[in-house]
Amino acid sequence: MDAARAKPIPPQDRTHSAAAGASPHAAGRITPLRELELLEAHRGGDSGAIGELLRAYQGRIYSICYRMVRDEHDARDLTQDTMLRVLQGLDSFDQRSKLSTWVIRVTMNCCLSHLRKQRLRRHSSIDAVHGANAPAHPPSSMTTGELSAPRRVEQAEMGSMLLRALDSLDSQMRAVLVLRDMQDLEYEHIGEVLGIPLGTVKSRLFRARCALRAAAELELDRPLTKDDQ
Amino acid sequence: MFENLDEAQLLALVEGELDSQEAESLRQRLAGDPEASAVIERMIDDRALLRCSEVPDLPRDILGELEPQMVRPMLLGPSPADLRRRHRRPQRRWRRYGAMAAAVVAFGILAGVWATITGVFSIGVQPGVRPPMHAESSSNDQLPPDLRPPPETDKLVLAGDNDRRTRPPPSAAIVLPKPPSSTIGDAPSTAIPVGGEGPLEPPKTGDNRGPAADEILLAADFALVLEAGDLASAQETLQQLVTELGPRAALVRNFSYEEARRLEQEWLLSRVRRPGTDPAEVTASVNGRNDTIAGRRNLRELADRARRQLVVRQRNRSDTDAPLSEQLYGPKELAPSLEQQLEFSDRGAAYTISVPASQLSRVLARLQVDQRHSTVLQMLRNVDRKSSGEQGESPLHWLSDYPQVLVAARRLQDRRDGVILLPVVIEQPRTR
Repeated sequence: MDAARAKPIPPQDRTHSAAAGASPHAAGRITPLRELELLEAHRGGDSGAIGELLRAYQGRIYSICYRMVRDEHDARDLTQDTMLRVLQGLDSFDQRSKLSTWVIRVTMNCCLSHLRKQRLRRHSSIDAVHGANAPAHPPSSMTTGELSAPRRVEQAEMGSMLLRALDSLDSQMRAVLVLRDMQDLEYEHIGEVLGIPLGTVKSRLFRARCALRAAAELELDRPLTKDDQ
Repeated sequence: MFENLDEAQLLALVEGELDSQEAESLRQRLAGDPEASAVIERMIDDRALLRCSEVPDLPRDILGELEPQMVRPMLLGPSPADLRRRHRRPQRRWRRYGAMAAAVVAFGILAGVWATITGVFSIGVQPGVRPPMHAESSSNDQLPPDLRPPPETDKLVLAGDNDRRTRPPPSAAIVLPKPPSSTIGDAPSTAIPVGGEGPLEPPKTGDNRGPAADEILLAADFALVLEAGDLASAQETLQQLVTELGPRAALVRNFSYEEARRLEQEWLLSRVRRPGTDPAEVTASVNGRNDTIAGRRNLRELADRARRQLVVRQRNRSDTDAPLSEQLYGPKELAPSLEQQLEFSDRGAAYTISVPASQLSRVLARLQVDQRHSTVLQMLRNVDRKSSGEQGESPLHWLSDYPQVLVAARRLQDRRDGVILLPVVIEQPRTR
């Protein structure tokens, strides 16, 4: 257990803003100015603009979906669903918020709706999370950097356990953690995406961190199953 | 655990938003509670770990994986906002019906009470109503038999029935001509399973009329792309669809330049067989025309020539406007002009279906996706784009077309009285 609780090595040379940009899915990002240009072009009837716009966002949408549902197949479906919704709603997008915020809000709504349906469908036990359908990339889903082999294993185990703990959280709590830690959004943007005030964002984030810690402790106390090994 | 501590400050510590002095001060306060301190430290670790997490590689081109049929409902179907409104509407309606029903019941009760008090609904002779016929029997007996009224039954009659009894029977039944049965009604029961929905409902009044001589024909800028394994199956599907649409619909196989070329050659070759013709001259003429065709120059002239020749061949027919191509189904008034057919076929559309504008949505909804067919709307390609598309067009083409198609389709649908000439492109199913 001590080994599993080993302190993770913080990512090297990682700035606040680079956190999300480090993802390979961020490669296609475009500047806000270019976004506006494409939006205007789309509204002006340029048929190619929408393709470029969606291509620029597909990585980000997919990463949010994957981090929310942690299933590649579901994430892909949700990405397509989100893109269709973006496509449908683009004409009515009033530019009161940033396009990126709006796209993330649409994505998050799709994910939360999916999780709600899934929760209704899920009659079986929590085995679905811990069992064969559990994380598609458990040990390798954390960046390990230049670490020694034993530390890499420890950190991978820790990361895997943490992701399982994340899965067990309430979807709203998971959403706030995903947006903050995995999408690197500011509190204000999280508030816009989830439609809650700033104070609520902060308190929900803190409660989510507490709940994640508690779930992680439970995970650590849980005997290892064959699937975990 | 964190009773005496400010949540916002703890969060700021975890998020790394405090300066070193503030963080140190908070850590000192936390030192009094080792358990809380440990939890906060682990939260900081958790945050660092989560920020390191990766996601698997994105599928190569997820946009390309979007199946065309996913766009079809988007083109036709209501937006999520519309759907929400639609879901709200029945609730409002039921609320309104409920209020109306309550009002009717209350009125009924009040009327019942009032009637009980005043005795309005008593059975028998009503005020102002003639007395029953048997009261006049003595005077009737004195009348000749043919002038006597018919004998009365003993049933009790309410006031209103007196009027009915005295009203003379209709002298002769007026037989109205039967309305012409719609094509929908006559459609064969073996509907081709083109989609998830059943055959179209019979068209509303107005769509059921036959085509007028001056129908407004609206050529669409976009095409219906029908994926079908073989041409016969696609044609069968379209024919069935047109049958279901009624008399204001038609299906035409578009006349093409290739067809014109063939007819032209047949005509020229027939001249060779004529006595007194120099075969070398005719052969040179044929070759020259082939060159012209190969260069795609003067094709309209060629088509016109072919058309004229066909008319000459069909001298026995007075109908010189008969379309050159084989008109598969429907009245010829709804067929696109020869030039229009040529343009459609030149841009890849093998067929044209003529559809009342008011029926466009239903037609597209009818062509649901199933295992055999997949339909999508896309803008008509021009010649160059068509040739490039044949070499492997991006699957995104329909997606980029979406805004244009949507606008064009809505514009056509607004012309409710017109008939849309919708070109149909038949495509082999893509291997998925």
